[in-house]
Amino acid sequence: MASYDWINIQSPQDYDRLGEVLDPEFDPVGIAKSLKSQVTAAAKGVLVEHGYVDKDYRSTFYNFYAKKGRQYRTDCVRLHFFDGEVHYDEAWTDITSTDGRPQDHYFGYIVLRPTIVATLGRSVLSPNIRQGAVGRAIQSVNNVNLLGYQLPVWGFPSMAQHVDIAVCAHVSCWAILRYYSETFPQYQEYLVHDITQLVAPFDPGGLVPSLGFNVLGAERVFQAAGCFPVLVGKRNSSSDEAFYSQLLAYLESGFPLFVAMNSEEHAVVIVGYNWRQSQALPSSSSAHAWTQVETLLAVDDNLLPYSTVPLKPTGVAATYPNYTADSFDAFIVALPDKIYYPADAIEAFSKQVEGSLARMRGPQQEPLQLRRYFITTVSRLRQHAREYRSQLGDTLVGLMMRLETAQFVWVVEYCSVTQWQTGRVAARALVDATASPSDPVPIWLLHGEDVALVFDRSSAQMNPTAISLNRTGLGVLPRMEINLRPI
Amino acid sequence: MNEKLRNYLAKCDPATVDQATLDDLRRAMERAVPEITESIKQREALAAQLRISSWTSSQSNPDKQD
Repeated sequence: MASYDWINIQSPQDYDRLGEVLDPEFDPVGIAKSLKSQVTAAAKGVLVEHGYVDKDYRSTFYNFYAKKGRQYRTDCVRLHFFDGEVHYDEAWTDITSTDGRPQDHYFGYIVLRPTIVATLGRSVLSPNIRQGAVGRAIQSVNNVNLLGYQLPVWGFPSMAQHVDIAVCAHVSCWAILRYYSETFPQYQEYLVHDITQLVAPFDPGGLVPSLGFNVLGAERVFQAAGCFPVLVGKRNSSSDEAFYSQLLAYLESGFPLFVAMNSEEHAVVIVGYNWRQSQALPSSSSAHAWTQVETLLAVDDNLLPYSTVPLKPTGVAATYPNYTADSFDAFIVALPDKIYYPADAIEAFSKQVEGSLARMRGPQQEPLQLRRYFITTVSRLRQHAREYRSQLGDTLVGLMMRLETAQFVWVVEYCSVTQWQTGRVAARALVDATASPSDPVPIWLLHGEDVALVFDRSSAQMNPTAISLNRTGLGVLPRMEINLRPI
Repeated sequence: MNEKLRNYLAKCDPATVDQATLDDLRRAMERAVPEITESIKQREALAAQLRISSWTSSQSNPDKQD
């Protein structure tokens, strides 16, 4: 039966009260320890929802825990996090807030499983209460039903591994596929036990999943779930720039990445990044925006979501997570159908076009020092154009509204380091994400501040039409950051 | 190119970009093709190695939680 307890959080030590209201099989001591060190002071109240039926735990219970000699409970507990505006009225079993809108003061939930060890179950937490989380992260809105309210929370799904039935690689696949099913209606929902079944072409039973799986297994999971995985490996050098450029390109496209680390024997999901506060001067004349990344954000099943991953070892002992982006060996991006022009193709294309663009602009203009590219949908692109109409100008906005493109386009942006610092770009190309890598002219549009070249992709010649953008007085173009949500 | 876009472009002010510049741009795009082919080939070769390599995600230690 559902019942509720409220815990006021005035200091991190208040999380110890979980031990008073939770049974030991939920490991309240371990959970309190994690919350104390990883949740910010923005969380001021926790509503404990007892007797919660969790679909992901039940999938492992029916297929694994129920078969064991030890007796496991079927019910879970949910912890809901609120800011200081929300109070719990025990007499009325209600949550109240001074503005009458508790939904505006909600930070998400974590489920606790009755498994004694690794009890942190399915969670959707707002990155706004995660210690150290800054920058931008892939998030979707989840509507949580609680006490007759529907509480929206923006976040990315996460959980701790079960240890004996699912390990970090299963959890990473699960988190990516759950994000897809919550965000895009064409994707089916997979429960934790379903993931263990998808890895192998046979029923792996209880023992085999705990041994983990290799990247081929992860590819199989994504393929079985209707995605089109691309596996990108890092060459021997830890500073394989092509590897990290591709990683950032897919990440900025809004695709969470399954990242494998051999030395750590670990897999995590990379969901966000943070730009450097002071710009780094690129070492070459043509650098990728990766050089401007300060940290990445990971969903790691050993920690609460959105842990900060530095790019290089910091020299600080005993920090978690204890790996850096240097430790990444490979990543898998689970692409939707209709993306045939991969990130390595756009890297080569954007480099070649950059030289030509620089000659077109002439030596008196600011040099193009940084390149950045990501995939987006044409509808999101038009949304951006509508939002920034006053900065883009009517001609360019009208053009974007009328362009006949595929659903997915690569956006390539070029800028100087000074423009980067102020969130501006000098030129932009829209490239067909459905183009064949052997297409010699895969482009729809190339424009700077004053002139646009519109390519006719319905003709064999694909000759461009040059038009004036009439942007006098509008200044430099704004940078597009449209796929990830700021924290 | 669809009719509506063609009509829109016809109404816009034309810009002058000399043919040599356009040819230079086209040549740049064409130069990317063999580079792309090679890069995809290398990526796939590396991916094939990774698929049979010894990497296995082992269970992580929950005691790592801080």
